[in-house]
Amino acid sequence: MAKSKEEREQRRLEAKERSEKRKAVKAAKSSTAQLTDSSKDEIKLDPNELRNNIPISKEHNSTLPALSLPIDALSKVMRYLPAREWGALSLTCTGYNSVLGGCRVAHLCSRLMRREDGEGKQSSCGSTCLVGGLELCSGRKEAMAILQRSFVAGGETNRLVSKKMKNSYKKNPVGDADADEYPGYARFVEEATIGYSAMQCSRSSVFPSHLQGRFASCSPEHTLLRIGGGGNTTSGPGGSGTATWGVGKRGQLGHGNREDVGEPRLLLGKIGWGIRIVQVAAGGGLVRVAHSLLLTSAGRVLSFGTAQYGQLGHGYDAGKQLSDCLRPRYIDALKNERCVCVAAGELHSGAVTIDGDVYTWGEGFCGQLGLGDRRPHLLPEQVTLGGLGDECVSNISCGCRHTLVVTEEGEVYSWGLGRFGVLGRSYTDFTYNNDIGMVVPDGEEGQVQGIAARAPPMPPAQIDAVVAAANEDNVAIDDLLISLDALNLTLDDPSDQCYPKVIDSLQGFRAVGVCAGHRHSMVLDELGGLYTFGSGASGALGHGDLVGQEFPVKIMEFEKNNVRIHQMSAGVDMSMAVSTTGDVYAWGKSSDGRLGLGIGKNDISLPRKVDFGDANFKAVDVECGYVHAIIVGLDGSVYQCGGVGIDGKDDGQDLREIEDENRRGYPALISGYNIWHRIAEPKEKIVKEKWSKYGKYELKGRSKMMNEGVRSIG
Amino acid sequence: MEISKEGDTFPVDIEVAKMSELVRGMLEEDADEEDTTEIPLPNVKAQVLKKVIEFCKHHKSEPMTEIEKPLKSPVMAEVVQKWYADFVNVEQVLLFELILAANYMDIKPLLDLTCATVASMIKGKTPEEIRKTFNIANDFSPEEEAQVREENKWCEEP
Repeated sequence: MAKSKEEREQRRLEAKERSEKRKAVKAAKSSTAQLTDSSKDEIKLDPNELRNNIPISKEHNSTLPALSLPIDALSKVMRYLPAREWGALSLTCTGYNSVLGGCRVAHLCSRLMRREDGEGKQSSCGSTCLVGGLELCSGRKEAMAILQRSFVAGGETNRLVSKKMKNSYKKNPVGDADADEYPGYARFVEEATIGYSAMQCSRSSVFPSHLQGRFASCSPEHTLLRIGGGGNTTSGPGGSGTATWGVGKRGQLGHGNREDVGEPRLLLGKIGWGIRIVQVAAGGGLVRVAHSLLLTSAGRVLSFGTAQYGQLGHGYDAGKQLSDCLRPRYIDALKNERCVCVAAGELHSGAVTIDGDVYTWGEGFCGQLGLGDRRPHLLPEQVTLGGLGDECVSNISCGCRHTLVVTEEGEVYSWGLGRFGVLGRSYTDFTYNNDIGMVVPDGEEGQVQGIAARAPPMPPAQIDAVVAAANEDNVAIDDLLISLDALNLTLDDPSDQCYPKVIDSLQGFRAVGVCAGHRHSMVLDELGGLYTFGSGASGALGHGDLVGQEFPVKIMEFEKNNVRIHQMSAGVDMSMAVSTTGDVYAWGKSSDGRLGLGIGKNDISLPRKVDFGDANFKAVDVECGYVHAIIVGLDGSVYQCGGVGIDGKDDGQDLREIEDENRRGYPALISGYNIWHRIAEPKEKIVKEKWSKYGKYELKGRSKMMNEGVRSIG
Repeated sequence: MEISKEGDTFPVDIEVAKMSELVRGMLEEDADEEDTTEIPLPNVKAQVLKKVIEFCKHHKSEPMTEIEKPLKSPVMAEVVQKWYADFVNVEQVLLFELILAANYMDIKPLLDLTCATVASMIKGKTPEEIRKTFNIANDFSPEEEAQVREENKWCEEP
């Protein structure tokens, strides 16, 4: 009894000490706050303040000193650490929690600037794999402006803020109150500039950069975009949930139905809150199929949408059917693999694991799975042919009928349908080479059109008939194979379109990113040079003409103007790219404002800068679909060019209401949307039926019950 | 010639000594004095200064590679040459002294190296592990801790 009293006394004393210390910190802070009022640049803290504030632990019985550094040294330490460690350190004790806010501008600068400390020497700070890094910001002042901008960008987003923040927000909406919020924004910036550092396996060096679909992904019909989310209530960084919109006939929106959605709608079922999404991939083509893949921070893959060709990777369901998934579902076959990158093509999908292995699944009739045959594979299978088993792959991109991967050594491998030259290398013909076309946008001459182009590659007419019947009746692929076996034919094909082969004309360049579009492809090298190849229709290659290319050709327009590219995207005959300074360039088919270059119908064959009507806007990511494109800003705001018509409406820019008539055909801000802002978890509507003692009719009353009875009889 | 806190003198080449911006500034101030100059460094202990000079000498023969930001690996040997990784494989007390000395003497590569080392000790750890590593006491009150934790829950996972 006496002992507990002593203990209590001791605790009280400790608490007193703590509160005094905190008061001292507060006093120090308020004095510095006055300082900042006069010189609104950055908080200047007493260099020795931190040293006196770190409590030395007595628990661990060691003689080690506490980590106590002057603030400028601490700020230097933080530059070497990703956002996660920022949060972890601020959780250790009050001293760090209060002092770290002062380092945030320097930290942000180190992520966005090419040069550090104003020295003439170039350094690789804030870099992706690009040599020289990014040039998104020129100094502390600009970094501060970017920081402040990020809190208000995207309009009213209903963002959650901490209590502390709310209080100081009332006094001064753009003050230093954002210190607590910084780790969340830092995570967003790091994902944009480096790769996802919030992966749970961040102990090892997983930083895939130049991924497609880091924040957004577009198929011809639908769009996936990250938003909100994190943990419970106000916890966690934003941007780990997913919103989807567009055409939803194939269940590719994941809302549990097949309805079209006009505005971004959040996925439910703990996605973003509990299950954190780090990458999204929207797949599908112009043939009324579409599916979506999501990569979680734990390295697992979720898929939903059309399952008809096995592109979801779930295999057959209980009834030996390939039925569409209307809600996200884990791919069980990949549960023992930790994926770091996913990609969705038209009818196939691919993933890269943490060990650098490539898995593909889905339709393979053009060899797009790289498994050495032209069979469909309903479950993920590792690609080992062509020496890819020994290579360490860093990222993958699936196009319409082809796949590109880039290895850590900087080599690019390609496989799949070589038509138009999308493989960037020479290839041998398929043994049966009848009419493997791809669906091309309507109204173009000399191309195979419509579903007919999808006829499988078998010569005899009777097989065509079997397959066509199978396609129409939605018969499971297995049955199709059985009937083909009966005809004594296999889908094995010796063509090198069916297995990975390196693009040898890129030798000597170190590639860091790839992007496979509908019928053209892009490769990014480490110096920021962009190479394109494939069909030149509509000028989507950006070489100033409409000529197709069989081998990678550098876009000289960028080279001439000294523009280095950081992110790129290839859609259906349209292309966009983001430079290291945050400018967006677009070229290819431009009608309906899909490129954000106005409402005209011209084909643009040289890259042109996109005007956002806001001089301070800087982009970090871009994604192209067929009739629309999504651009993500450094502040987390999202712009859309063009639009997908839902419920049978026409596609085009007019789908978004634009007040200013002069801005028609230019990028339109998606209002109330900011990727990194944390928002409250949406409540799933659960319909509860009330049952009373005598069954549900008891509540309704006799007359209603009678009516219902009558109706059901009628 | 550099003189430590304890009064020990260390003979150093001018070129090596000039890696420190502080020393360079001092040398330029009294450039008219020729031959050997003595530079007093009252804030730096002899043991630390010895380490600093060792670093500067080696840096002249084998310049340090730029350390990537953020660190790719928590193991120093994987981000920088072996000699430098071994160089900072010292006790924490000495490491912090080195940071302070590098900061005071304004030697950028040394400051980079030592700060990166501290960062590598923090990388991938949970707050509790960081506390243990650096001997920090948890002085949050329960309510405060709950609030901070709620904001940064995602950082607690390794």
